[in-house]
Amino acid sequence: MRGGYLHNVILIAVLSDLFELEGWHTDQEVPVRMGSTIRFVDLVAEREGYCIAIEAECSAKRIEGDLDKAQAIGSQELWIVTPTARIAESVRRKLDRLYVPVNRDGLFVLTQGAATERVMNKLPHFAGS
Amino acid sequence: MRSDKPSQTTLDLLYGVQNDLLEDPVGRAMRRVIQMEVAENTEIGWLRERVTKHKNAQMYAGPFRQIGKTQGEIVHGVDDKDRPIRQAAQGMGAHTLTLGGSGSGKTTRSRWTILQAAKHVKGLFLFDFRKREYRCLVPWFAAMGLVLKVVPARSLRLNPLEVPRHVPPYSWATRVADVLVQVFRLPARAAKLINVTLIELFERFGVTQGGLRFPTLFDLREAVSVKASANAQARMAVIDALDPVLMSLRSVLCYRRGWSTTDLAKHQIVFELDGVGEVEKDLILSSLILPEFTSRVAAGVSNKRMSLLVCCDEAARLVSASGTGIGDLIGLIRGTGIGLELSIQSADIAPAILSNTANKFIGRCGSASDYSTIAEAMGLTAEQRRYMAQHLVPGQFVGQLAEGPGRSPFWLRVPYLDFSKPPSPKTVQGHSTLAGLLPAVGASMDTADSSAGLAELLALPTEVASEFTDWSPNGHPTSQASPVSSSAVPLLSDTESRFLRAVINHPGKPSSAYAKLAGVGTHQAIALRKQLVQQGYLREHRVNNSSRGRGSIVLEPLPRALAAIEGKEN
Repeated sequence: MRGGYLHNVILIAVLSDLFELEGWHTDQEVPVRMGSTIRFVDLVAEREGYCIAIEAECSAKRIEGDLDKAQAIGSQELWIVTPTARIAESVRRKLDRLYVPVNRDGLFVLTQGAATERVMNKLPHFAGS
Repeated sequence: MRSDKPSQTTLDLLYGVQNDLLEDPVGRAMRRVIQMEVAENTEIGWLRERVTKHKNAQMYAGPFRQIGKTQGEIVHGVDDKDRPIRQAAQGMGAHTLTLGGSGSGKTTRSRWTILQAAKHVKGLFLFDFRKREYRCLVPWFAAMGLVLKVVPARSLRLNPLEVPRHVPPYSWATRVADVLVQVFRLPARAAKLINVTLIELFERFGVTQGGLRFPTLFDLREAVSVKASANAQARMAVIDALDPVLMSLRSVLCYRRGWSTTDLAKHQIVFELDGVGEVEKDLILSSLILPEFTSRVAAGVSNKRMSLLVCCDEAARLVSASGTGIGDLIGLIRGTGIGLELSIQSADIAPAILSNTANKFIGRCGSASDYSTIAEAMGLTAEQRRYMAQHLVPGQFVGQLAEGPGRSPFWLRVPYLDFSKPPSPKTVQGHSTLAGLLPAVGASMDTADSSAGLAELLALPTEVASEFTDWSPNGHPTSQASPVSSSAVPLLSDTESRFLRAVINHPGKPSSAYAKLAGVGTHQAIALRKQLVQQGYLREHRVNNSSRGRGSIVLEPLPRALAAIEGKEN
């Protein structure tokens, strides 16, 4: 994994543990073939055929790549998880410029806290679990 | 028919007896013949003459009684006829309180009394809390053939936890815990924590088995800081209170065995505490007086002759109604042969101080309430109060002594001596009361060197706790170079190691969570975090780990921390 402590431990590892606790199957650094190159999705969580791609971002630079990776992997949701609300806001602005609607069609931009709460609230799809 | 009304002669006789007018041989003879009802007109006339003379003098003297001839070694001052007002030196064991505003002459009065008492007591502790008023007595003591040692606060060598002779360690632990709670104004719960920790320390150091290697306040602080099961508030209160004092008095308190108060009580010493804080003063005073007092009580000393006189100049903080200083002790120490002499500027005094100081002197005050408080304590009449408030000038006092004719309040003047100059025959000329007091006046004053006396104290047996000579609250010696600039991995304290281990083992938690995980208090955890970040062990990240509110600080252990913890575990 190429990120730093904040990316790998605080954002990805913590979320991964939480998904596991909630009964999801998780994989970190899942490879995705995109044309002639192989890219990696930070975290993929699966349960009952439902797939969530999670990308931890500490800036808004690589958002377009994240959208492509999520599409390539065929996940129902893409979570872009940021450490702070400020970075989340800059990601949302970037998505606005790309005409990609946020918090719709399975695309969510969340801070680490909001992502944690979303997992712990068992996600809308698995409310009964 | 016999009248019920006493005759004029009877009234004169009563007045004469009451005012000690018949204490000389002629007076005693007059009293006898009048009582036997065989007095002639001559004796009755003599009596009448004495009474009238006294009443006339009394009219000019104001509402205070002339106490006449008194006996004793200590001359407190002179009355309006320059007759000395004396008291036995042992009478000072009933404690003395002097109240007077700035410039009223209370320090001069105190010096005057000390100068005389010095020859009659073995030990003399003179505490200068704010100024350096007693240092000037060194040449005067030298002139009397005595050595007065001057000890600045930071030259002291003390261990407040050192168990005094005859005192069981378990009792001392309780006593010291109470004193520390009082001195540091700690919550009541801290007393239990300190008590338990002290007992554990005494057991660990073998003091309970009779060992003489005592724990220090530094040991207490370290032991309390790692007591994870203790009440967090009490623990933090103890640490917060101890840290500044330990930093400030490091050179004073880093002794496993400090100066024994039993040894010190054989010397005449000025403790100059003007350079330290108020809490430090309380701690030093308690450390010097309490062990000696407790030791004497434990040894079964009761109603002993006064052998130690303790004088405190500007002792307001110690005796104030709001403080706890020595108010608790004063009622008990008289019987152990310790006399107290306190000087204060205002009457904001704990009731125990007023109740237990049988000798009282009041000089010129700036406030009517001061006069009122002390007048009530001395039992002055309304006329005396009014007179006192309007007529006292610097150097004049209204006094009341512990026993004898001086129990009735009297007016006195303290002879002025210029203590700023060394004593000489010229200085004491005209002071008849000084006759015999300074037999060696005129001796060379060059020999009056206070440092020579200090050297004698420095030679007393002590044991240094060398591990604390460079102590600081963060666990690093103050002289050590910053770990950031050093290539070597510095030693971590236990607390720091626990904190780092908690960060490594529980990643991603908000920084506040590590206080509990590391078993330290919240404030200490904050200080540790900042310190470890500064030293390059940790990095902080701001993370919104909740959907609302301000983000938390999440800590990242850096390779330096991993290496330090690995090294510690190996």
